[in-house]
Amino acid sequence: MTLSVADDSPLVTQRKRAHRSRGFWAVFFSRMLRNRISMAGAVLILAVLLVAVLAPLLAPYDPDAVQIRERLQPPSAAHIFGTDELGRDIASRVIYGAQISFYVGLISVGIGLGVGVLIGLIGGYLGGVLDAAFMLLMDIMFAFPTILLALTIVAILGAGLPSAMIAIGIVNIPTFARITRGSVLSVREKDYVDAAVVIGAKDWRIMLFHVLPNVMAPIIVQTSLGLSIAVLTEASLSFLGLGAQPPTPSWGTMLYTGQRYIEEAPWLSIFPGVAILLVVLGFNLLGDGLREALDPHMKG
Amino acid sequence: MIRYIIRRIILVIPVLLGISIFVFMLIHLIPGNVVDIILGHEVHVSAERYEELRAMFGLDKPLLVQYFIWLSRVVRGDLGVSALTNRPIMEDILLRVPVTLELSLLSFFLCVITAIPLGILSAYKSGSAADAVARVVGLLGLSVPNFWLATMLVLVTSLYARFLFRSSWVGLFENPLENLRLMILPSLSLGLANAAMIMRMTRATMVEVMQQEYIMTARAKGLREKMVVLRHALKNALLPVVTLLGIRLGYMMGGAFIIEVIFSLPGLGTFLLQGIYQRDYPLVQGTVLFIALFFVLINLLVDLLYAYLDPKISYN
Repeated sequence: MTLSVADDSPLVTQRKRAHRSRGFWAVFFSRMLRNRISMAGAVLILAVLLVAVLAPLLAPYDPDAVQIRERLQPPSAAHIFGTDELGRDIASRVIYGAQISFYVGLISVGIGLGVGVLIGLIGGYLGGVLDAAFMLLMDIMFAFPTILLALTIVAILGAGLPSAMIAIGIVNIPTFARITRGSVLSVREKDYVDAAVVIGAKDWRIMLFHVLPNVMAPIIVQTSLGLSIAVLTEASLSFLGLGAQPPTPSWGTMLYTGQRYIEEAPWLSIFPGVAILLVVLGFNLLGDGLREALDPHMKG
Repeated sequence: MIRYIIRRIILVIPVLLGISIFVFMLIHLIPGNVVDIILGHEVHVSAERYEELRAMFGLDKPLLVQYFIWLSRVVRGDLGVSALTNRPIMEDILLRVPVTLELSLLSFFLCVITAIPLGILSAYKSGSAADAVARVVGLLGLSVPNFWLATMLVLVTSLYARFLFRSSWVGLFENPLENLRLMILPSLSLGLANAAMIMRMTRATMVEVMQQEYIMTARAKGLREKMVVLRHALKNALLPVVTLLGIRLGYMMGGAFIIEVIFSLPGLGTFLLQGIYQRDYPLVQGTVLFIALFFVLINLLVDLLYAYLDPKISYN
């Protein structure tokens, strides 16, 4: 037997009020907790984040300690992931590598998010020539495949982790700008925005306190997906020798070295690769789950 | 339709101009003087050589004049000469395009033949164990770095299928069979991550379409399930997939760098990276411009194809 309740019944109205009064973040977290995919992603990310934070406690060896006599040792009780071409403990380097990945991810997505959301918010809300100019700039950036744009920026700035972070940040800007602008365009037409205009609120105030909080859902989803792209792009740049430089224990740099010893010491390549896979999978799961939880149209 | 095509082409012009400005500015954005950087590795540099390079970049003229001189050369297909080899860049690019194109098209083909059937199956069996497996495989495929997948494929084949290796490059028209043997691993590495994306998209649109009323009507009329899926659902579900396929083809063309490096393929990616490593900025400038223009062209073609296929798109 099913119970149907009319839309205007006191029960539904009461629930709607309770739902509204909980605010965006309370609803967001409750939906996220109920979505199994996003929870699987969140658990995976939290686990790797914990490994990154506790690296000095968890790593059995100094990640940069060279022990030539121990070089290219296969996985054993002493070195669970084996050792590299300089006798460094791979497990310790993989653990410290998590710090690099999160660091790069947070800084570069921070750049993309900060600049992109600002462009999307201002362009979408104010419209006109400014919006057209912003969108043309974004279209130009979209005209380059992600890795090509990142490579070009690194070619300008020179190889290294800071250049890679800036490059990945810039590459992320157009996606955040487009997503924010799209949502702002629909929110701009809402009654509560008109009401704020009527009472004489300033543009920056309306954008910051009335529009931005209502376009957060797609931005949060994109942040998660952006983090996965950032981790992958950093690994790609480092693999090409243009990101993190030796002896920094970046997973991409480790894979670059591992490739030379693929037949005699495959463990050099297997473990850093699995680490990248897990982090990217975690962010993708989280992003997918959040999209499902926050956007009912995506369910299926 | 003709008006739509003209309008769409006109809209591309500002983007092309923007790309040209960005690529032109590349050598001006480098910290320091580009001539000093290029000559950095040469011990004895004559004043003539220095001036020759300055003149080559047009650095003795105002910026705007430099841009228009450069643009007028680019429009005529002249991308300048390499600072290291002195060879015309366009000639070298054209030598390398077929390799990247072949790799992209093979990967694309692999993508289409695996991703679309799997996506349809997963959507049709939505909620079943097979669907769950397909979704997990899709997510894994999306998360695996293609260069790691390539390394692992090299590892596995080095143990079980050594015949797939070959030390030197053989062109497609030189020896087609040898060439295809050489391309199997690179195209698998490049194609699989893209296949995961296409599969997810096919599944998502098919699930949505299968819930539409016209599918219910088709079933109610007593049509066979195969007809419902292939004639009614697939036709409509494939429209967004076609767009994504086109975009991914562009990405494969412009993103095959690492795969080319791993398998030592003499394509555009290897060429560009060589330019970056050796700080041959004219080469970097020319190659980036070429790839970006190609990418825009593919996106334009996809848009036009989409408009042709989808009657809902307004031409006004």
